[in-house]
Amino acid sequence: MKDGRSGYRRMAVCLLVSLAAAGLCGEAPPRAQQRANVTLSLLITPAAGPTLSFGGWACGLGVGEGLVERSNEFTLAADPDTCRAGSGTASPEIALLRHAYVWTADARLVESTTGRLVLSASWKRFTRGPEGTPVESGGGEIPKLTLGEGDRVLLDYVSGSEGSCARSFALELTAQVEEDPALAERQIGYDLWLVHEVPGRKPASRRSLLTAKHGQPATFAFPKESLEGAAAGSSVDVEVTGRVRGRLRADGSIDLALMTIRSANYASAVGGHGASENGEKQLTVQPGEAIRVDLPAAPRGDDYLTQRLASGMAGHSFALILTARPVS
Amino acid sequence: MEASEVLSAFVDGETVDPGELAAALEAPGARELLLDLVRLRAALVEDARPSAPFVDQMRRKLAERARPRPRMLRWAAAAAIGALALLGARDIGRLFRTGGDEPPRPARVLRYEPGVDWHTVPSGGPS
Repeated sequence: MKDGRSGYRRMAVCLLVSLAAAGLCGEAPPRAQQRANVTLSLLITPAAGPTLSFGGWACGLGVGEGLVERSNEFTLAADPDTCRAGSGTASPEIALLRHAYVWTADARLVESTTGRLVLSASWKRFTRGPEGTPVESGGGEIPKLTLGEGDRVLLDYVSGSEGSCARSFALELTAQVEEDPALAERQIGYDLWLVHEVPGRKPASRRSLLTAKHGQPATFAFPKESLEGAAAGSSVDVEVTGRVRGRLRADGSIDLALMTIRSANYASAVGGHGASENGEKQLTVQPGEAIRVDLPAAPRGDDYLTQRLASGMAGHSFALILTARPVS
Repeated sequence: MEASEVLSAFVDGETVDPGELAAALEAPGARELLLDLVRLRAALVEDARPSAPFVDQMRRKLAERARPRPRMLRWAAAAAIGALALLGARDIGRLFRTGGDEPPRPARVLRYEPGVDWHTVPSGGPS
């Protein structure tokens, strides 16, 4: 009996371990964390000219690293009367001798995967006090800031005074995944399908073949489709566009970020309504593995035209099917 | 018929009129022409005959081909051809299944989740 009970216990433990292992195995593999180039820059908009970017401070960071710890204390400075800007390691006291505005800032890389960068950021703006001492005139802190690759965010903004050279200054943060030089020139091929399904009918599909460098986006735009079934005297058009970005991993798999935009338009004699939705899916695939991503149904709105658009799209569903593989 | 033609025909073994042959032999340069024609014919006959090494080599090849092949080898060759044909047929099927008209069967199905990774763009009000 004792042996039998311990046997059951062993079986139970094995079953639990197996279930746990199955649960873990069923999840997608963790996405590769990569170094990123983080840039803090000043944007200067002259009184009569286009906005210029003064690339003040760029640094390659690993996950968990911050700009200040990699580059010591850093200062960005600008003067609206002369449109001059500068960056360096001078303290705000020293920088304020020549500039009207001085920023100290830091940004830390929290997470960095294909299509998604998470950072924290903090900054302080100083101006000259009555006795020449620095006075903190602004600042802020963002503990978690999620950006797509190539996204930009303004942290701070200052208007120039009347009659000054610069209309405004802004402090901008951007981040981009740092490419592995060994992979940067590799090409990835994408076989992308848009599937349009209507109950009781054979699905209709359109195909787009794309190629892009490792880490670079490939954009797609399927032709606009006029949906059948709209009320008499009205029409509903749907257009699916977007971009896909991929990075090859050392184990042969591919990290992907699939951004999709669905634009729908309702037109009738009464009036029209356009709606646009978008989303980005990050995933890791094996070369040649086909992945289907379903687009949600159109949301039902409150007003008449929004409801007419949703009604026109009812029964029509759209999905993307994507395979990616390195191009040799 | 000219003298040279009569002599050429004679050397080739054709029937010629004895009178014409006699006249041709009397013609100036007939002796040299006759000797040239005889040499030319001899050379042609020699060229037409394959050389002895060539004949030996061909005999050996023909003897090898005539030797019967082992039966096992023939079965192996037949099996290999059959396997290749099956593989080819499978690939042709695959080619038609995925070729151009229909998307591949997905290994995984995901979905954009509204509010999570799918968002409404604020612009685009009633027009």
